Amino acid sequence: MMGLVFGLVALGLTIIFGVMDIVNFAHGEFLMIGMYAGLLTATVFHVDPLVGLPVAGVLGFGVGLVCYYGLVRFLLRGPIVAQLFGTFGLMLFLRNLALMFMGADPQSVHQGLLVGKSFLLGPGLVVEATKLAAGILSLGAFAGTWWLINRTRTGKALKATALDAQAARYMGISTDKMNALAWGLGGSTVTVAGALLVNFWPVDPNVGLLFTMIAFTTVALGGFGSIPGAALAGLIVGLLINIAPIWDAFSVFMGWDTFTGGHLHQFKYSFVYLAFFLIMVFRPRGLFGWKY
Amino acid sequence: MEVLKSAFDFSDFPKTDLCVAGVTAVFLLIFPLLPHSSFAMATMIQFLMFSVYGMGWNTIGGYGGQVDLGKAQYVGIGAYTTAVMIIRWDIPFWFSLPVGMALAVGWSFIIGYPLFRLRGHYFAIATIATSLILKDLFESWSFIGAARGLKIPLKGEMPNFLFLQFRQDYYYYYVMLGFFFVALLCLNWFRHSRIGYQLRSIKDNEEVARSLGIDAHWAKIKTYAVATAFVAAVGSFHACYNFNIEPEDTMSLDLSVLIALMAMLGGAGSLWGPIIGAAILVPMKNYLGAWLGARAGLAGLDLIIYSAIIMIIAAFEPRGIWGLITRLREPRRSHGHPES
Amino acid sequence: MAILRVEGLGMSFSGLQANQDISFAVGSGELLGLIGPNGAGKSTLFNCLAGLYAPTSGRILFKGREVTGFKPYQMARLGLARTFQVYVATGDLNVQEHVMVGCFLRTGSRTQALNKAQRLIEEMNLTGVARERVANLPVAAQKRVVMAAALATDPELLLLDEVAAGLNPAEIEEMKDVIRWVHANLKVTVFLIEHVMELVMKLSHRVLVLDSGSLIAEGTPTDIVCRPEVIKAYLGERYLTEHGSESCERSATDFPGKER
Repeated sequence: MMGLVFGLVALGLTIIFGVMDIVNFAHGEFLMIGMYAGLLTATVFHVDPLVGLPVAGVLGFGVGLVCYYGLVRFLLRGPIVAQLFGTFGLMLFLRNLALMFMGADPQSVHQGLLVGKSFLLGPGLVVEATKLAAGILSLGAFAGTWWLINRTRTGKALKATALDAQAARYMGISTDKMNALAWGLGGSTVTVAGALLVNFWPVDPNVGLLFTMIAFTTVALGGFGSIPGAALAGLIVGLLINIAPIWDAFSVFMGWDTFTGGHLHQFKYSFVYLAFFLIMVFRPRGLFGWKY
Repeated sequence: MEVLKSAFDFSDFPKTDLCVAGVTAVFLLIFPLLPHSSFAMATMIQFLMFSVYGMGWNTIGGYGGQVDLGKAQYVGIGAYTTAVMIIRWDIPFWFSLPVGMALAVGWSFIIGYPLFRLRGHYFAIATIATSLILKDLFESWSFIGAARGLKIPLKGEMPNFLFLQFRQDYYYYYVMLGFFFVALLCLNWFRHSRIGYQLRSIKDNEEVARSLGIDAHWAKIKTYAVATAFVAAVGSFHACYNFNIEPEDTMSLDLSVLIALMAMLGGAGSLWGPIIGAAILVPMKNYLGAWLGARAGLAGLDLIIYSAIIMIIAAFEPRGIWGLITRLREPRRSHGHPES
Repeated sequence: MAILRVEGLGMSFSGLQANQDISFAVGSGELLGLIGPNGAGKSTLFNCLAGLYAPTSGRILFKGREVTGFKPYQMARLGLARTFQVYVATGDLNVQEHVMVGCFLRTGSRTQALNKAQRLIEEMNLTGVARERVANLPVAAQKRVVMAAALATDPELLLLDEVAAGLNPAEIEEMKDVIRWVHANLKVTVFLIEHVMELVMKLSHRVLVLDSGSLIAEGTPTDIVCRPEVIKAYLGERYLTEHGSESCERSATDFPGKER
């Protein structure tokens, strides 16, 4: 379930990358914005967190556009190091802005239609309602985005720009607008993911980094620029993260004392980083990527 | 020896630059004799530390053009080696220093080999990944104190030059200043050396560099090792200066980023860049932090300011402050001179 | 003695056969040209020799040694240097520094590299711009810089990649002199790909003609220019049947053979 959400998070990143070859370090921060948006709609406006989704989506789109027109547009002209640093700066900026306005404590959503309820899906398999909903809605978001990109005219224009910006320009497609759209779209998919996530994951200003790394790994695994790749990879990564605690439980159950004896779960994120490293070194194109 | 000669060769800088450098050097030498607060002293020491961090980073990040956001892991290796050696085996700083550096360099070769198959963004993210993995490892390793870190006990009377333990900060200051000058000379040698030229050629156009006989992969790995050595050395110093180290403050991503940031702000790829960057950011961080820290509601404002600065610099003058200075000078010169 | 020998070289990119069964030899001290219509596979062949691509079939022997699939830096160390047609610089190296990079292949000493670079710069007529950034120079000068850097590696074989591209007639003349000088004084075997006939036909001792990935002709400039295969490759089957090759015999005097 989590995997699908991860996939969604990665989706935004892969879109931005596919269209303009820029890696957005601040991606996790967008997620955080989405999470806060979801949180605020729930707590401040006393509305069900589900309503927070479209709010987050719109907010994400807007922030994405602002970032593009305000910053990224200039970065594209510069060397790669500049782009890297620019989006990195953005990440720090957003993170600390949140710190200033929201405080450092983790917060989470406590009420709402689905929070706190769970289903029993067969023997011993408990599924939290929120996660289930998140998974389903993520799938929906994926489907929606896929449809948008492959079936609408604007979507096709976006794809065209991703494949060959200059050729697209000759066809009358404005690269600038496409880039902005990519950012808007990328931003909104991840903020929606954030709004979904906040239902079962506490949010604090530093949550962005972890998810940025997860997103990068997912994108690398799925292949930069590929939408179905992001979905599939998301699932795999979600699985990967859960392997460590399962292995822990299993080894303790078996009475094995592996060198960490049940502490492996502390490394679960390290596995993600390691996975990223290994993927990039050995198969940079990922599963479906067409752009490396 | 030609190595020494090129280390001291600053002749390709215009006279004004050398004068400014000279004045600054004198200032640095006499600083402790001037009236100062202990806060200022601490800031100066940090400035020196970050300058050396930055100079190390600059070799691969600036001259080499590969942005490395994982340097903090080597700070950790250096710091922990020294700490462990003092705590467990009573080994003085001056012995643990080279050991720490050797371990760090060894590690850098191990991960460098696969790491340098990547470039650009991917490289940067991979460096973050390796740094975080190592940090996680250190946080769980009980031999070195896990997340609680290590505390270095006092070893007899202070001032203690063997173990680098002093009551007064100015001893630390001068030791670090020594490191600083050594690092500067090393960096100067580097940019005049064969490997320095090779790296710059790689940054310029890697394909052309290869056609001129340069094994780009290996050259980058070697340079990365140099950068690591610088960083690990300061890490060792850090352990002695702070008496108390833990993974969160020696190996965090924030530290890696700060190092890279200062070098980039000041001007990656130039000799003075990292120093300028540190000179601006360290005092700013400290004084801004102190001033704002009193007002609880503005936590994080200092970082907001830097990140804004980073974004502006990245967008408009990616070559940093030194880049700005050279750009302003360019029209005045009748013929170009090699800027380094 | 053949300094370079190519046997049955083939290069295919995911199914597209860019080079097919190419065999030839380059004699030591020769000045060899490679021509062919666009898309013939000249650049691919060139890059295989330089080590950028590993040929999918065949062998390359350099100075008697098997070097098939060797990387560019290995080839450079063995004595094969190349120039680049388009030079995109992202750094801030100036001319002198760029040439020094080449020198550093053969020496570890900065003073030696500097001296050698200065000599080469003078010989290539670049002394005036020695401190300029390479990226700021006009095309003709840039080409000489790239050549100087390649020569700094003390090559025995120099591959020139369309050195005349983008040059005006005066610059082309200048380039001809440079190449002649390099060939005669530095004892370097030169192998050049070229589209500009003026240059390649007047300089080369021998010329190879490539078309659609295969070697279709080999011989002296005057010789190959009248071969039916060559005419057909450039001007098409119809031209050949309509005009034949007699008109060619007459205008062969335009290429008075090798100029040294």
